[in-house]
Amino acid sequence: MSDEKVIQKILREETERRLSIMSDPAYRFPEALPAIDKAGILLGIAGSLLMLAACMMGWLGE
Amino acid sequence: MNQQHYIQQETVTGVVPILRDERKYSFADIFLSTSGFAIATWCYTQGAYVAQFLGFKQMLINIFCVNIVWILIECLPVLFAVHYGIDLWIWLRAVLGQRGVAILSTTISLANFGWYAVAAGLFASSMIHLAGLFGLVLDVSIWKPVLGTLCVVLGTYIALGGPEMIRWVSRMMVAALLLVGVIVVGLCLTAVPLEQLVQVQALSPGDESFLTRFVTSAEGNVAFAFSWSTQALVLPRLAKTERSGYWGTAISYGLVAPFFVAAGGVMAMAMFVANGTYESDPTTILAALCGPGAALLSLLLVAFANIGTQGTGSYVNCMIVKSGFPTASYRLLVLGAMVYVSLLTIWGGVEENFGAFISLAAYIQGPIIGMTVVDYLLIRKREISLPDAYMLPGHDAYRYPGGMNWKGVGSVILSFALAMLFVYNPFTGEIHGDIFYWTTGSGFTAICGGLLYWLANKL
Repeated sequence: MSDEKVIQKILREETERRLSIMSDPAYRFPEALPAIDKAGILLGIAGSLLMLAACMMGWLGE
Repeated sequence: MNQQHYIQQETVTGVVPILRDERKYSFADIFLSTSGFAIATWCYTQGAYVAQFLGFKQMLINIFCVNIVWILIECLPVLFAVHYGIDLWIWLRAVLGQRGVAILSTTISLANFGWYAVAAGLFASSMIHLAGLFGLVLDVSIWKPVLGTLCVVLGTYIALGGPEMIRWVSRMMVAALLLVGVIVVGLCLTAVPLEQLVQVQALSPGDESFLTRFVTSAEGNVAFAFSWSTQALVLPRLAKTERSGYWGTAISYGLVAPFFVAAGGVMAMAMFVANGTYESDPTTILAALCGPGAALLSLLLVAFANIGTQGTGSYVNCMIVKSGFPTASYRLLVLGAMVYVSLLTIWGGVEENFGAFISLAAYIQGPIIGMTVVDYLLIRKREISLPDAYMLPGHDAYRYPGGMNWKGVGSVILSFALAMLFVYNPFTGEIHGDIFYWTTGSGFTAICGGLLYWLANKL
């Protein structure tokens, strides 16, 4: 078997092993982003868009 | 070959998914490594570029608010990178197809390496100026390519060490960089009275209206924000939690990098107030405003920053190429990148056409950002089949005819073409339609790419 095929086989087997672990109901994924952080993201976007609009309308000079 | 060692390497320098208990990067590690990557002389070049078109207050609002909006959006895919321990380009196999990923990831990485050639060229220019301040006159035609290549080689050494080396280099370097950045802004604000700086209008406004100048500057900042996008998920896949991965990435690209862009703009304005000349090189500015001794700070600002950026940039972009070619050797890719970036640095063409370059790169990355966010939130609703994404035997959901998902690839091509023809041409600077004032050209490509992709999946 060529080196490339050996590498492909190793990668495939290892990937299958890891995906099998991840599909186990006992596997704990990393902690999800809390709801308050999602609210912070929306506020950041909204606040920045407001500042940009105010600037473009000339409310902040020039 | 030591199989265990090879597998371990492939989790951090390859495409194998990283399990939860293998994650090593905390919020601080993600923040410092990403900030170390983001802070480079291109920030000052970008800031000085914006200072040509806008007054002090408008410049700060444009830089920070444009970056915050787009970074918060384009970092949303970080959440799946952390959740599954995979890079963006693994997810994109579902959106673009395996061949689509191979073609676009390689194209984008080849374009991204242009950034590092700019950083290396600016490194060389600054070091030549610094030497000149202390009486050592260096021939630019010889020393610019030599010093630029040295920057690339030193960065390659860091990249060959992988994410562990990057983590430790960043921990040492980035805190110093942040401190020096604050010091430099403070020096500029004391060298020139703040009341005078705040009154500064655009340095080179030309005949354009304020609105045109504001949105043209926003185009540059959107393109700057987009430049991180396709590289932004390589480090977060090493993060321990979604919160640490997301905010470590978003704060670095959305606040730290814009801070240094703003510093570049402030420095350019301070130089103009003090000397009446426009300048973007921090070494020259610091020497003029604060004396040659202060210019030594540019050793940190420019030298260490750009070398660190070379290292991290080489790592992330070689990882991106590997997602299209999983069996390629990471070491060979990094060494090949070293040669490619060195040649670009010696040529110097990317630096000369900086504005057009960043927009053109953004026009390819923009649609991918839009499609990824739409696919993640609306089409796949935050879940993907990893066996299909990894093309395991018997899992063919993401195998498309010819390896291309034309819903995705077509959306990229169409968005690029529509933006060039009907919104804004970054080569000529021509505005083709009023929609430019609402979205910018680069922003249009992201919105259009996301919309076209959504429509293609719904129809």
